[in-house]
Amino acid sequence: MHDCNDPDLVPRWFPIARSEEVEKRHVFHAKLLGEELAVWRDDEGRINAWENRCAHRGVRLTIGDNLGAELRCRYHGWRYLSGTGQCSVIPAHPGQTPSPAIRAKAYRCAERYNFVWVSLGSEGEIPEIATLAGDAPLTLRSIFVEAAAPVVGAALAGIAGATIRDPFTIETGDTIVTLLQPVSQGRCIIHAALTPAPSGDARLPVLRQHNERLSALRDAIERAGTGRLFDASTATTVDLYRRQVADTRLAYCVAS
Amino acid sequence: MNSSDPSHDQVVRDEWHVLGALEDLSARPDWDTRLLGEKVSIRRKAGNTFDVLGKDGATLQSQQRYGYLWASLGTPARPLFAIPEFDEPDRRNLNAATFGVHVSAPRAIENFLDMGHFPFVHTDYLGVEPHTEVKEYDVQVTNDGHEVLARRCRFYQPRASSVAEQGYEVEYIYRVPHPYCAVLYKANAIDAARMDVIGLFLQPVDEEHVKANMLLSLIDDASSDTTIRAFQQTIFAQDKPILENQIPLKLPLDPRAEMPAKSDASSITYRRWLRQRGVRYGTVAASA
Repeated sequence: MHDCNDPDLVPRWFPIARSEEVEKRHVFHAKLLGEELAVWRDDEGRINAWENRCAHRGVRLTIGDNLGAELRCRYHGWRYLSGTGQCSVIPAHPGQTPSPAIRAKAYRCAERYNFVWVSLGSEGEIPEIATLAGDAPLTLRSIFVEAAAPVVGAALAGIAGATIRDPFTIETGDTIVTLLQPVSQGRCIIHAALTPAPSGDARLPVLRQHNERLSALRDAIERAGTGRLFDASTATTVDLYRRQVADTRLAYCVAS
Repeated sequence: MNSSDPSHDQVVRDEWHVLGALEDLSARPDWDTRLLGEKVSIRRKAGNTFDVLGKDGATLQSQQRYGYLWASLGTPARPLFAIPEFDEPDRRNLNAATFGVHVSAPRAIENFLDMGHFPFVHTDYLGVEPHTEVKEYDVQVTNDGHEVLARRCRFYQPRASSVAEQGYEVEYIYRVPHPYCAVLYKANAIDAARMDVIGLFLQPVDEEHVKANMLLSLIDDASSDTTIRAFQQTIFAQDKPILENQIPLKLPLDPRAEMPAKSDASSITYRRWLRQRGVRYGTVAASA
């Protein structure tokens, strides 16, 4: 169960992985708004994002096996179908069809801009990000931060030239978009993408440069909180960001 | 203390709880451990007897039985459950293992009662595909409501014990005479007329941590202690990562919380029995 009651936050789509991290025949572990997710790609390329517990006896599905069309639980070998999450096989009772009531809880998920996106609710769409809409962007190294998403968002808004799209989407340059994944109340992951993707030998220096920038930002946030991060030149943007956060129902990850 | 606080569960405080194998305790003069989240101090006296002291220094009721030290934080209403086979003169009795596991005691008991996981968790030992079927078995609450009993439990096992040389259908009887202890009777591989006994005695360190002690009482005068222990420790090491990946770590008592199959009859009865006894410690209560 996620631990978030904010009606603006639960149905919202968030990136929870870079597409390349969710390999076939692998089960990827993610967390969003306190909810653990088992994320897996079937052999046809389709992504699943499920509550990370078997309906039978609660074992994490991330320790199970991705069989290509089904996910198999590690404990009793129960199998769940890609797409619906319907239980298809209970080995203790061969030949019997499992009840339709037995299923993995499947969340809405999709791939876009080379990220895997998940929504824990039933409404809303993946945000349109014009900067990333063209050719496949280069996804940068994701950075885990021990701070709430709006704290990190304010720090990103404080980067010179930043443009705020929404509290979780901030463009930090003409071609770079940073996207925040609220892992839990006090933790988040900074995802980022850059377009157009550099090719060949140019790719690694770009990854390293942004990794260093974002790592330095994380270190500053974790060391100091946000208070001393900003200078006068970006104060207006940071203020604007904080007003946007205040106008959105984000009690989940905003300190009262 | 608030009576609805599951960490203060008088039903469980009044039970006898295992605190370790005498063989291990005798090797050291003093040993502090935890029981139901409280510090407990074991002080060895002359003649391999022990005093068990609670967190306030008061002496707790204690006894030695089945090769283990037992104590209660409350006032036990009944004697410790009986295992008559233990006292048969030709039995090999030994503590096969004491494992720390990050899980509640009831989750560990349920795993011990479960046959359906054998082909997947104990592959090539206690089960193997395609022999995955759990045939119908009998479960009842017996002994004036003090015990869960499952009989006619049958399962194909490729290597049922350290002396088994080929696969065969093994018959089990399970007893749960205590919320955190279970006893398994298993046809002996050498003498078909007698049953080997395996006891799982859980020390509830706190609501989500146990020390699992495994008693073996066997008809086997050939295997070394090392061989017998190695087999059981292999089996237990296969269960541990499963148990530690259950969400929640406490056992849900609400019948709607998890979806059982028919093969889970013993688990269903065990959960209902815990509810009826009012056991809260290590469980998630059923919602009203």
